[in-house]
Amino acid sequence: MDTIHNKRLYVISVLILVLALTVNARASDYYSPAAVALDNAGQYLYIAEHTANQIEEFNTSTETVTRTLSLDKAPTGVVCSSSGKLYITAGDYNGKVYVIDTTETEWAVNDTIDVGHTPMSPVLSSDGLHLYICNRFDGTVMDIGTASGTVLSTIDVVREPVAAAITPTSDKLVVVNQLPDGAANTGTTGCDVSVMNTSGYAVTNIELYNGSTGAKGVCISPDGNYAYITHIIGRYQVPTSQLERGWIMTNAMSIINLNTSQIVNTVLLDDVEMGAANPWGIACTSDGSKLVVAHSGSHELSIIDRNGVHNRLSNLPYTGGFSQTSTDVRNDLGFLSGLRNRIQLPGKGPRAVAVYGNKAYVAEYFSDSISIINIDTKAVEQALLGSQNPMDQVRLGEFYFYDAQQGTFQKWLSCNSCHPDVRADALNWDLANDGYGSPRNAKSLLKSHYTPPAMITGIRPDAETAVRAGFKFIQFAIRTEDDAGAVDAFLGSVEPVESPYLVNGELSEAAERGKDLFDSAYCSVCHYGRYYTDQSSHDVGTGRGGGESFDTPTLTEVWRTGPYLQDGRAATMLEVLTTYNPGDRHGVTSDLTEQQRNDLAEYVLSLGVSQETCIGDFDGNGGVGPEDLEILAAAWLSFSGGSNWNHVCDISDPNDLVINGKDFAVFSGNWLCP
Amino acid sequence: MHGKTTSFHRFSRSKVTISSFRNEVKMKRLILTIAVSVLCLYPAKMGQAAVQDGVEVAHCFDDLNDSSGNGHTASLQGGANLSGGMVYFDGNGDYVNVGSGTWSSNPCDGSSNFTIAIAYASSQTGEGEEGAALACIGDPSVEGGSGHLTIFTNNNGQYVDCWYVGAVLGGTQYSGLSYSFSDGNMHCCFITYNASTDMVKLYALDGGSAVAGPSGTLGINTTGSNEYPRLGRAHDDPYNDFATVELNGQISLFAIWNRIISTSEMELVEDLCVPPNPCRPNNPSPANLDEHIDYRNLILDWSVEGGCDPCTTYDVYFGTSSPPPLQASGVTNTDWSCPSPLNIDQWYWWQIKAQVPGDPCSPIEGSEWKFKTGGKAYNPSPYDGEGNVQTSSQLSWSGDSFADSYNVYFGTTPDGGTFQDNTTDPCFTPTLEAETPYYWRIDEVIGGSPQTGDVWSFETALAPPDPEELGFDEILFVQRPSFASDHFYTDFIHYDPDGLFRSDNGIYKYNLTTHVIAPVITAADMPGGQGVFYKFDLDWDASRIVFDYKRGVGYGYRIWMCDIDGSNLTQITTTPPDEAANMAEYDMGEYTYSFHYDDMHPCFTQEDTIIFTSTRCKFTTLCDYDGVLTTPVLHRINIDGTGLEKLTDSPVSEFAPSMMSDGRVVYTRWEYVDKDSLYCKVGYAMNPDGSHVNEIIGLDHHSPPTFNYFRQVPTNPNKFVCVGAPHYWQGDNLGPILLIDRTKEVRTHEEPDDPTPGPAVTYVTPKVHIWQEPGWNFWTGSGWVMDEDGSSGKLYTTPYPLNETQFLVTCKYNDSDSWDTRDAYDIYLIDVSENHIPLVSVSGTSCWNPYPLKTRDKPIKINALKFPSYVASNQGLALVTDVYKGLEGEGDPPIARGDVKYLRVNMVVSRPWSCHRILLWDPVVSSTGWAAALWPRVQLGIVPVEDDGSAYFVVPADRNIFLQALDSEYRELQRERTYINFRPGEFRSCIGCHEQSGHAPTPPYGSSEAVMAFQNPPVIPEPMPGEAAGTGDWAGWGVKVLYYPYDIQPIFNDPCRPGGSCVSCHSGGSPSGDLDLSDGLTEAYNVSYESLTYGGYCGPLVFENNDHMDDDLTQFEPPMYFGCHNSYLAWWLYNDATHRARLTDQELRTIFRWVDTNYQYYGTYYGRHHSDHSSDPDFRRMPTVEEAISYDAPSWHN
Repeated sequence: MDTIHNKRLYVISVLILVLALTVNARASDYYSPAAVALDNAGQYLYIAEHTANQIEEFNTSTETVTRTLSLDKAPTGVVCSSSGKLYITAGDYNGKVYVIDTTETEWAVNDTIDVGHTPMSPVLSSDGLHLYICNRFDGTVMDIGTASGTVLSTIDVVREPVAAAITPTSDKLVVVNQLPDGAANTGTTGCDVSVMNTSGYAVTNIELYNGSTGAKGVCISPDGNYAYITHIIGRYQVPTSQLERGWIMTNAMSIINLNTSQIVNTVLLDDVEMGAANPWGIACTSDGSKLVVAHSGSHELSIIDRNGVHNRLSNLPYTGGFSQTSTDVRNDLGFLSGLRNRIQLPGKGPRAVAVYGNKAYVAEYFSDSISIINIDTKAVEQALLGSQNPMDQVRLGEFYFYDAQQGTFQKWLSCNSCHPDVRADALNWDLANDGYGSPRNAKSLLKSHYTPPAMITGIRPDAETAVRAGFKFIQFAIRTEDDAGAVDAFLGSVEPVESPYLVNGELSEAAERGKDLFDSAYCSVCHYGRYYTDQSSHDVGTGRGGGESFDTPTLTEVWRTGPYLQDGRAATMLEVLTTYNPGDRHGVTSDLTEQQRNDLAEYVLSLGVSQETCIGDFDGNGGVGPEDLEILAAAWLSFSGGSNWNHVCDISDPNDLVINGKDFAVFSGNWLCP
Repeated sequence: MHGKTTSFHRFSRSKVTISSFRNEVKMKRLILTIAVSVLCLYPAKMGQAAVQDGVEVAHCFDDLNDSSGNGHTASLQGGANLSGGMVYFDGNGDYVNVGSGTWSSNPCDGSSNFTIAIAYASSQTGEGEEGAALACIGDPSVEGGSGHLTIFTNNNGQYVDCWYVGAVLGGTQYSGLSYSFSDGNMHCCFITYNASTDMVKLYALDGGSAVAGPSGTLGINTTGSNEYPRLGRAHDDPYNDFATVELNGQISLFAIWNRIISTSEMELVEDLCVPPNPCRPNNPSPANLDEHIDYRNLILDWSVEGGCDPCTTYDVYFGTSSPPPLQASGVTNTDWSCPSPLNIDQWYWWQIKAQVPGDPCSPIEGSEWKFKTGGKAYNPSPYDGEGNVQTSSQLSWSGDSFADSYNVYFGTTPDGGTFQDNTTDPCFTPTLEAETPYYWRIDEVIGGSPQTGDVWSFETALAPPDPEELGFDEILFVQRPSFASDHFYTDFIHYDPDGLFRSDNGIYKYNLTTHVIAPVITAADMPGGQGVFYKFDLDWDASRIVFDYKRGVGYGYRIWMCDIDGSNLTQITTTPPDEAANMAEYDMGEYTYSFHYDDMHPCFTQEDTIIFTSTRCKFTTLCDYDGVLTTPVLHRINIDGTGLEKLTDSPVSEFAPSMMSDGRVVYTRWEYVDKDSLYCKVGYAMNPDGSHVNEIIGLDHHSPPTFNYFRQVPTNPNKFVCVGAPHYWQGDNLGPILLIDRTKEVRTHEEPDDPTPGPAVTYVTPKVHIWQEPGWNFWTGSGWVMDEDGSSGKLYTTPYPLNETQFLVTCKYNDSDSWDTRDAYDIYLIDVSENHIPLVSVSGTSCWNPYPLKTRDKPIKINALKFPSYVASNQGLALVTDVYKGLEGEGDPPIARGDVKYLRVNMVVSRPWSCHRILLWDPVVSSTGWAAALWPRVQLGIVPVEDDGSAYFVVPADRNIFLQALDSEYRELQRERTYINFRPGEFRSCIGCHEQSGHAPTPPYGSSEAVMAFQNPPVIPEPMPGEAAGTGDWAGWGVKVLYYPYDIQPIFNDPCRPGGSCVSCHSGGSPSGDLDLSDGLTEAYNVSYESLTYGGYCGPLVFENNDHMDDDLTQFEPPMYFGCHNSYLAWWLYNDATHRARLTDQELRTIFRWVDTNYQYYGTYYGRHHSDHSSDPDFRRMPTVEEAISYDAPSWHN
């Protein structure tokens, strides 16, 4: 062997040893409080700690954690019944509801109820007999009988229901759908609020103001007359050339009259000179006087005079304000002037919020803390959830991704605003990178660091470049390479969620049939490899006026990233294969039967976690052998963006944007595959 | 004597005094007889036309009869009062009907010629007052614009300057004579109407020649059957919801002729329009309105003129109410003894009526006079109810001259306290505690008896602040004597440098706990050992300061930096290499200014650069005849002194950058694209690289005219604090402290008499305003006073906001100090409750620029979007997504979608120093010192507007760009009356016209597709049809330097036009339509230009060089208010078939474009323009495009 080879083997040998020493469970490093619930007396706050896989009980008097219970899945939501039972939603594909009796001396999971894909936001009826949960990726709501612990009904809502609230009389359940549904190139688009009659499960879907997306929170006034929904309004109709005055993004609260199921109005939560990015949790005081909104991007809490808002809306034009008519309000950056206190929180990533009396409890996701705000005096205290672990690069990158305070001009938006949870907001945006004038549908960033080039047109050579361009041209900020590297690391670490189209983790029968068609229809000519992309551009006849080529997008987790095609014209995958595939330029589908088209669509929508087995076949020769080892050695210890970086070698699970022992461990496990 | 004041800011304006007015009246009495004869139809003055010919009605108001003999008797209504040959109006519902029911038809209905004369006096001035209606002719029962002809003397609400005289004709206003007529003196004005041409002209006389003002079509529509003149009241103000308009003043003459009288006849009438009577009792003693009169043994006294019959006797009316009762008859002397003693502190009214033997007009009544007796001390200081009184204050008051001494009572009980002292000096020094209410009383001792005075109260100020609560221990400040500038923007010129440059000037820090003042850096540490510091900034980590320093006359300000302990002194900006040569070449021997460059107002950025304002741009103010470098714009430089870069090309001035929390820079921009030059010193923000310039606060604030020294409130990003200052009389921008709330409509501001809550601009210091200048308006506790000296109240500057309610400020606290008292300014902590807590004061000098010595959060670094290819070509890109936003539905007729076909892209050219002129009236401005455009605007071409209202086009970078929306005929529909700068490669987009600053973008279209224009590459502004494109760097552009003699005049001269040239009819002794379009030279322009503009044929002219206080053309105006759609010339040429047939379409477009330039004459600053230089080979030379926009004068310019 030559010297280089010797070095590589030495390096590999050493790192096998290192591999044995670096096994660690990331979930235990941070708490990531994601949801909170108070007991009836306001004595205890129950905190669902997402990455710590545990529930903690927080004594609001002593402001200390009194009990902790570990779970086997990551909790997403919690609610406490009047009798002291906790219902905790957890997990993803095989979602669970855990039931814990807090009156027991020793905490334990007393019951487990199987529910849908990524259950969230448990809500109890006032009599405690019904538990309603959102199955985020099934697009459904479940009515669970708490006495029997069985699912009484599963009701379709719209898309990604992530939050719910119930009226005091329990007659209506208000469900917030995070993302718009349907094509993006139509006149208007916006996410929906589903108002369900609990007695008959009838659902009324109310589309929010054009551009609404990223809905996160909902609360209902004590009189049951109004629901308040936090969300984003993407100003996608204008070029992304500036941020001043909410040019790209505004942050909003929509008000729905539950008696009429109509939108009262949409109020902007921003200020003229400062955005209030990424509103998340929202709660109303028991006397109905105040609304509190957590701004997860700008790390703030808004305390809003609820009656003042309604009075102002009822008496337009309001004194000294911009709004002359009700239609002006949703564009009025000064509407809350004098009606809102904006409080900077000590922690980072405030998401869930609960209110008891004049105290608001805010879960700060990234600082592993709870902030307690006196709504009257605006005094703020912070309680830390255990020891504080410094953020590693991935966690830091995740924080930067969700942060609008340090990284964005005037706090209008974060990366997460257009790329919720690293995916897409279902809107078309007119970015400068491929020349203004051509709005493109937002693209999921999942595995983008492994599927260069980046952007729909492939205009960026790789995702690293795109991350840095995003800082400069979307957030209009000049940031350090360290910041960009951290975001690279985070994005690289994100793994796909299993498709809801899978059946027990396997392809359905229809999808199995579609798998064969995937090849015969020539889909796999371009969509192949670990991420189902040839990483090249093609003109498949979907451009404006023809003649435009687009980078082959990954099909990994494509079930989640609709609408489809460069301008979001296809609301469904079936439309991609049929309506928007004239001339069979995007796969030969015209001669398929309707059944075959459905099968093919179901197969594509089932793709998520790679179906490949021979991971490590870097040279694509069909097997894992010495040539692949040489490629791995050439990239050894490289980091994303480094001179010898080779993204194909980052095969650790999750990917971590460094070629090290983790990758070698996977590689060695597939040695001489197949 | 009331002549127009100069248009040049530097000149003081002439003043009219009461004594000069009285002298004028006495002179006019000499021609009393002639006056009466003329107005009462006796033979006219020899050599003059028979003035009485064609008189319909004549009232000289010796009585109510019609002197014309036509029987149109006047009747007094409301409180109108006939006295002394005048009708007096109190402005409160009183008026005079002239011949109500006696008119068979309206003599001014437009069916035949007429002339109206009115002699009047009015003192109605000031912002916000209603116009003074002199006469309304028509059916007074009909409100609204039609059917009336209204003549007014001021109407400053929207359109006409309050010192103007004007007329409202059927809802259309004509006005513009720049005479100061609201001065309380008598003046004459005339309205003539030519029925054959349908032209109205307005003449105003003031002891001189008749001068024609604007003219226009009558447009009167009289349909009522009960039409007659009414004087002193109208309800025809079309810009104020047709509100009732009153006159507070007098009218001595009202007459109507059924013909157009000549100007010489007008002058005769004007000479004779003040009607005195020698027997009218006058010169009262005590003088009318006198107060503090001795109530003991008072004798009333009056006089008559020498021509009065010696047998005249007098009836004396006297009492405590009006009208006073008769007390004595047949008094033969001109005095009368009052009963004694009179009441204390009591108003008395009195009137003398002269019984003149044989005079049919007898009795000749004097005016009703009044006086007030004394007996009580008055004018307390602190004034009654005053708060925030400093614990070191002294009590003082005014007393009657006949008081022997004063008994002083003082204490904390509401009864006035206890006896403290008897003194003959009207002052007393008490011991005061902080935050305590006090009561006091002064009893005058008169003739040995004390007279009980009123109980007054005041409350002392808060105690000094706790440094812990404030969050800092020390305050940085500049120590130096006050400046004495003549304008807001010339602080740094130092025309009055005596005593200014001192060795102890410097930047100091004051410890709030120890009260020790210690120097950071002083002039003694600087080159020259003495000099002056102006502004400074503190670095983010509070470790060092950057400051500007000038070592003396003949040196420019330079930027320096040092550590907070004074060490590591470093000069950042250095002397430019060409400065010495410039000083040698351009110096005119003026003592205080040597044509150097000044670098000022430095500010640290988050990017390790320093932004400052500097005259290195080599621009100068447009009205500045001698070309002093008075126009600094923002520059930046690296902290190591490298990378000096000019950030903008603003045509006037930019000042005082300070950092915002979001990383931008807020600063003052002075601008006036087709607005008044005195206002619009407003707040803008930009990125630290000069990109993304955006408005912070409005464009149309009249009061105060100047906003300066902006700082963002650290606890609320929506709020900014600044100082409001006058344009004139400065000393570092002095005035009220203003708080701006960007969540409000930024064009609303607080006024004391306006109860509307929620304006964007509110007063932290509400006791000083600026409605008039030079000077300030102060609240004295009982009313507002206007004070040029500034010695009636407190003045403020350089605010530093600690939060939304507390501000560190520089304050002239002692009311009695003048604005330019060198040591009058100290550092105070003030709040929105008007508390004043003194912090720093240094004997013998003043303290400025308070600044907490503490660290600040460093903002993020901002990236601006720039396209590399356009960086290389030094261009920018502009996208208008929907021009109809703000336009649709506005105007009359309302703008509809589809109306806008093009945008005209224009460039405002800054005035370069190299156009330096020392000849006062050689206009180096684009049009005139009289009216219209001041700066040359170069048209860069037109770009299409798509059906959806979008336009996407290329603009030159680092220039001042503004747009005009054009219709299909290339006529302006709306004008962008501001400008926007583009840095190289910068992309800017906007929604449309007049978008609200507090609104998120609201595109009306419902599609995710880009707007139509944006779907194609940006276009280059192109020529109008039939015109040649530019060449060279401007190849393909529709660039055009509009030069009236070259572009417009040839159209009028062209002899080959169908039907003959324009001048064939419109020239000579009797030009058609009284419009002379010939090309003869005038002093500054030519005959046709002046005939069109002065003659009122154009349309609303934006007088950018207005030096009056109540300009009305600064604010937002609806579409079609300016330009072709409101131009008589453009309307006539387009709509009159005969005239239009004689012009080609291209000629018509050329004229339209000229109208839309605000009637520009010269396209450049360069070349000799005054007719004295007509023999110069470069006299009024047409420049090339490159020359016209160059900042370096072409070689032929001298």
